[in-house]
Amino acid sequence: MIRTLRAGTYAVRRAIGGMARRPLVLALSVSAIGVALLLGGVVFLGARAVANVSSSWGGGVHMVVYLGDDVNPERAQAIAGAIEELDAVEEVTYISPADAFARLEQSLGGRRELLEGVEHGALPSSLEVSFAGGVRDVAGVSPFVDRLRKTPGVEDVELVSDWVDRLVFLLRSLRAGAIGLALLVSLAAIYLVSVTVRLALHARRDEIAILRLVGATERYVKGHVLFDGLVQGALGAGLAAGALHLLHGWIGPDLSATMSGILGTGSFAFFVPREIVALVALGATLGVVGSWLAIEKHVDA
Amino acid sequence: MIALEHVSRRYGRAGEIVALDDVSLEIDEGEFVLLSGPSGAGKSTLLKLIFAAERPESGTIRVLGHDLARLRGSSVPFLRRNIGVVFQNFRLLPGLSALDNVAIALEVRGLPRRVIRERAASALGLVGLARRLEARAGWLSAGEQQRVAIARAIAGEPAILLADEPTGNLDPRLTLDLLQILFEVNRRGTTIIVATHDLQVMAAGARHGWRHLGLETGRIVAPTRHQWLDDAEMVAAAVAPHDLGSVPPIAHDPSHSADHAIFADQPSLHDLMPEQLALAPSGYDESAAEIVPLHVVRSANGRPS
Ligand SMILES: Nc1ncnc2c1ncn2[C@@H]1O[C@H](COP(=O)(O)OP(=O)(O)O)[C@@H](O)[C@H]1O
Ligand SMILES: [Mg+2]
Repeated sequence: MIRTLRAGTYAVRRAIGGMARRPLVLALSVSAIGVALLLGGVVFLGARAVANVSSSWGGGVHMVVYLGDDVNPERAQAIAGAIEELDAVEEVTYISPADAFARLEQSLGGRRELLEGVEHGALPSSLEVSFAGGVRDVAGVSPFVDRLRKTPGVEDVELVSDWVDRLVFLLRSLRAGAIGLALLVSLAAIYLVSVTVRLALHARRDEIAILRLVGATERYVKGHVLFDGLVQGALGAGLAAGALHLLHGWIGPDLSATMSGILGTGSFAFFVPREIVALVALGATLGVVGSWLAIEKHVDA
Repeated sequence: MIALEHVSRRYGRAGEIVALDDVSLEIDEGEFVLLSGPSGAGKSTLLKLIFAAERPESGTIRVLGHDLARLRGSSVPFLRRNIGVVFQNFRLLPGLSALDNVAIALEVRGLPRRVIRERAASALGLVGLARRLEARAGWLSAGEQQRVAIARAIAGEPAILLADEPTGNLDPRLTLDLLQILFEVNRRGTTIIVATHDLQVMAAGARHGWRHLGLETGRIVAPTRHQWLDDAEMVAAAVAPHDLGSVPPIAHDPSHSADHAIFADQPSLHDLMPEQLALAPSGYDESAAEIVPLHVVRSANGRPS
């Protein structure tokens, strides 16, 4: 056990030592995997942000009942209670003028100064109603909406089905675009990695020839090369994670603010630790697969 | 130990290049064999067949009890661990230390690290590099690099050592050092085959009584006079016709005996250039440092007149 462990650390040290003697080749392979994963990571984080927006909308507000200025919270609660009685209704949320103001402020993000001089009570209070089963049920509640419009204290009822439909369509296209982009990036990444690994193997053909000359089995040669691919892939993934972290800290807040400004929700979250581990594992896998493809094709003899 | 029977190897699409043509030979355990012949004679091909880097078109090859035609690909590495190989261009990894270069040959056997270090160091000690273990191979001199290559080849204590033009990049003095090392390795029981067209190596072989095989256009031939120099008269005859200017011909040089004249790096006497001649005092094996280049005046056309 201890012997295996020692042999293992020795193998890692040897691999790193061996790579350090070919800094150019090492830089090339590591950065190829790094760039590939960086692109993939950007696409992934973007796609996830978009997906979060669409899911928050999918289960979000579908009808807004604007209340008159004269409606006090008690009256608002009574109206809310009446609406909640309906089977189709999932949730009713009372938004006070102060809540509405706070929300508006938040969604403006960096452009908060636009609200200077606006009174906190200037915005109407409202009830946000979400329906069970999502957007499609909105049409079915129209009779109820008509009745609601005539209820005292109700200023206006906005059915958000129209632009929710459009938004959902937009988000779907965005998601499809992100998936397409991710596919494209993955293909580019695999190509990049296999070209680089081939180059790296070419640079190492002397070493591989010598290994065979002194009686290395094919398993040994392959293990040697694949192990280097593994270490390089993991290194590249680590670099990609670092670069993504920097990038996220740099433009993430602005992106989040812009997105919630436009859509009223959404933020760019970074990877959680478990995902970083997965990213490193993905890099290692990419390195191994790239090396394997290259060695199958190019180092026979 | 090594036996070839009617072995042929051709190259080219239609097999029009004959590298080896119906070669049969047998080499016993502990022999030291010189394989000489001009460039393109098939020397390298013969060595490659022996360590299973190539396969013959026809004929059978037996090495260390294996019929190579029946040896499975997966068994070749284990055969190679019993055959050390050395090349003209050393084939070291220049970025690695001498020790690590030698260690490679032991690592592929999966030996424990401590054993690897010990054996690699002792192999380097045997070739006189005990004090250069940590030197980067790329920074060593040609002679030292070739010694590292030999250490790598013998570190696993192979039964056979093959050397393909091992002195091709070495000057006459380093050639003598190298032969000394090979001699010592052979004395310890390793069977050695040296492929060479280096007359200096052949002369040394004659002195030590090594077996000599001639190869020409893929066929084993009796070593001809120009491949096989062990005759003082022949050396003198070779030098005498040339204009030696102020330096007297070897045969007349009182301080050197003609049988220690050394020809470096030349396949045929007819092509001999004067600057490729060197004189060594008697007993050069022990005092290689005292080798004296022979100054020969060249004629106007660059050849000895
Ligand atoms: N891989 C090869 N492809 C084509 N021709 C080759 C190859 N290897 C050797 N030859 C030819 O075979 C002949 C013998 O080559 P070689 O064994 O290298 O001779 P030597 O080592 O005596 O100089 C030469 O004519 C050489 O050109
Ligand atoms: Mg050759």
